[in-house]
Amino acid sequence: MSPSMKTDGFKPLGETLSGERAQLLQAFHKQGLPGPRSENWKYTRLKELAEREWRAAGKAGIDGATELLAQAEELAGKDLPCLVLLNGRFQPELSRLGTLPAGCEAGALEPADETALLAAAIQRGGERHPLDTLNAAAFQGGAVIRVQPGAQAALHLVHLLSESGEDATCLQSRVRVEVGEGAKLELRESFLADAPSAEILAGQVAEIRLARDSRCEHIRLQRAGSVEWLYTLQHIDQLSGSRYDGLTLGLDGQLVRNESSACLRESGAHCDFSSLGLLDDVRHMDSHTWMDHAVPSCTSGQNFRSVLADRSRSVYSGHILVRQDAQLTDAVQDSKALLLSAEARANARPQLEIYADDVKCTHGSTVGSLEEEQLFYLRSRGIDSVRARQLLVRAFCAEVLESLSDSSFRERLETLVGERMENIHG
Amino acid sequence: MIKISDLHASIEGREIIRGIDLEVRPGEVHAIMGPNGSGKSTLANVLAGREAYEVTQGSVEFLGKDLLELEPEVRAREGLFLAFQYPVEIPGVSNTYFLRVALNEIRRHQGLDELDALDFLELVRTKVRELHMREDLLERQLNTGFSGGEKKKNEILHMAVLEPKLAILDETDSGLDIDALRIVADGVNALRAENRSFIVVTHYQRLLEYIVPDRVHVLSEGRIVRSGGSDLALELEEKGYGWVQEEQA
Ligand SMILES: Nc1ncnc2c1ncn2[C@@H]1O[C@H](COP(=O)(O)OP(=O)(O)OP(=O)(O)O)[C@@H](O)[C@H]1O
Ligand SMILES: [Mg+2]
Repeated sequence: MSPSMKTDGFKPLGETLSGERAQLLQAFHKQGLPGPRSENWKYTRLKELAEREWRAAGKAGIDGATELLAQAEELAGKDLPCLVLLNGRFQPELSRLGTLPAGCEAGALEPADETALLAAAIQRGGERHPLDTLNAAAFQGGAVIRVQPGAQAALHLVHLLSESGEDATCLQSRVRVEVGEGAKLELRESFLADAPSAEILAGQVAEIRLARDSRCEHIRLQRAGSVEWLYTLQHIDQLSGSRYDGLTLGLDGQLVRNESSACLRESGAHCDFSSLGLLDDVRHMDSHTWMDHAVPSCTSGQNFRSVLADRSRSVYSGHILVRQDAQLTDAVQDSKALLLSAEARANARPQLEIYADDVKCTHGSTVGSLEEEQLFYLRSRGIDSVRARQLLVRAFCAEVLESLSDSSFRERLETLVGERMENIHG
Repeated sequence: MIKISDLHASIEGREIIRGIDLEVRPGEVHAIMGPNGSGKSTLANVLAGREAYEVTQGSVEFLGKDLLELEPEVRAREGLFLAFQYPVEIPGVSNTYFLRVALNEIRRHQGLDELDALDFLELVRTKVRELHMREDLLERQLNTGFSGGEKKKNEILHMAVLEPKLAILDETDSGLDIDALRIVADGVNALRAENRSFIVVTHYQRLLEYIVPDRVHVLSEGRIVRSGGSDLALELEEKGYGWVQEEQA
């Protein structure tokens, strides 16, 4: 283990914790934050995180949240049932769950869930991710979504953060999703924040379980605004014939770290992780994936793209593990970074660990700027260079969005991406 | 229409175009032939405004304007069109959407109203039918995954929609089957008009049977080494380029 960094800055969080949570915070202090020499944190430094005095996010009034919620719904869809977490806490007044179809329950993380979760967290002890331990110790609340076997549901899960104070504020939430046998869930998840003067660390942990032949399309819209640190850890557990399609859209946020892991534990499962990051200024987006092919005949895909302006940076580290038994695995991995400025940086680190012999694993990664040939072709037909660049950037982004099944939602996303790109170009 | 005088151009310090004089009048079709690497595409690209090539000497007048002063997109809006020897694939941009944006840029520049999506679709569908192209190419991403012939026909479609005043076709006939060649030639002939000119770069006399040129020029090592009427193409087909090059020496 590489030397880890001190976590003294998180001590104030302990003042309100007791029992298992206090125990977990102790475990976190013992683990420490990953230090600069940790391979997985090579490009994303937590040093500054360690230097703050973190306070737990308090409750927020719902008045300030309605505007944020309206923005979230504008994009994700106004007709969808929605479950709102404000500063981590379930908000029945803001949520709209009456229209959920039969066979789907969604609500606050219940005490029973919490107990089970904490017990599991303690049991796994020092093996778990330090940021997961921190989250388990300090989470303010969360949500549970369950879709019964055979049922179909669509839901918008909204995380809102509203903080008017000036303290360094730590917000932690957890989400648990269970999709029953043959069931289908379309989950859109938004994160929006309004914290003009506070420094924010937001941590989100999600566990998603897919039973046999179930499906989950999961779209995360990260609009973290001025949030300094956002980290998400999600784990997908899949049984046979299930299919997970995840897409993460990183629209802003100063430093974002997204970790996704999947365990394909029965044959015929398919998991897809995609991501699109639009970065400017000194924004930083770091995506890590772990795709665990544990059994034969599963497939997985990964498509990670970022557009980088100014001095922004993106990191993609994609790990594929094909265990000895996992014959006939088909795993594809692709990452592309489009650099719009000479000072932007992108790093890609594919890691393939293959112990079976009859498998198909491919990976590709490119980092480059807009192609002069394409620009010239467009210009030679009368399109000016600013517009030509915009067209090419939008096209680059559209390739990630094109897999979305809901075309009007896709068009809203494309429009938003287009608007964001116009600002990026200045 | 266009008047090229003593044009020199180089790339990465190497001179490729080494003194070209050429005038094309309104309504004329000029063919440019010449061996591989003689500078035909370079000339076409310099005229279209590709920045990689540096013009070191000479001038080009296009419809009374100093062409070399204009940005590539302004040249297009003023009525210049280049059909690329190797049309560029642009994934993620739809062929129709792109073409509508381009047409409206040109129309706006010329003080005309922009076409809305419906009017445009009608226009472009008509052109597709006239060119015997498959309509699904319109919905596809620009040139992406098009066959060689489809790419060339798509260039002709763009030309037909944008209605340039001067069209430069860089080996648009290469790689076409006989029917496609016919279609391309018909596309060009349909556009032929008193106030529209063409520069057709080709290796084959065959195209020139369909599109009969007013003048034929032979380019060799960055210079026009011989010019003549349409018979010159026939003569070249018979005797090869060695013949003009030898005569030159
Ligand atoms: N971008 C470039 N970089 C380096 N050299 C170039 C570039 N473009 C053209 N050249 C060189 O300039 C010369 C002329 O090339 P050009 O493409 O104009 O020939 P061409 O007459 O069109 O040939 P072809 O009949 O094969 O199409 C060649 O020697 C080529 O290698
Ligand atoms: Mg050429």
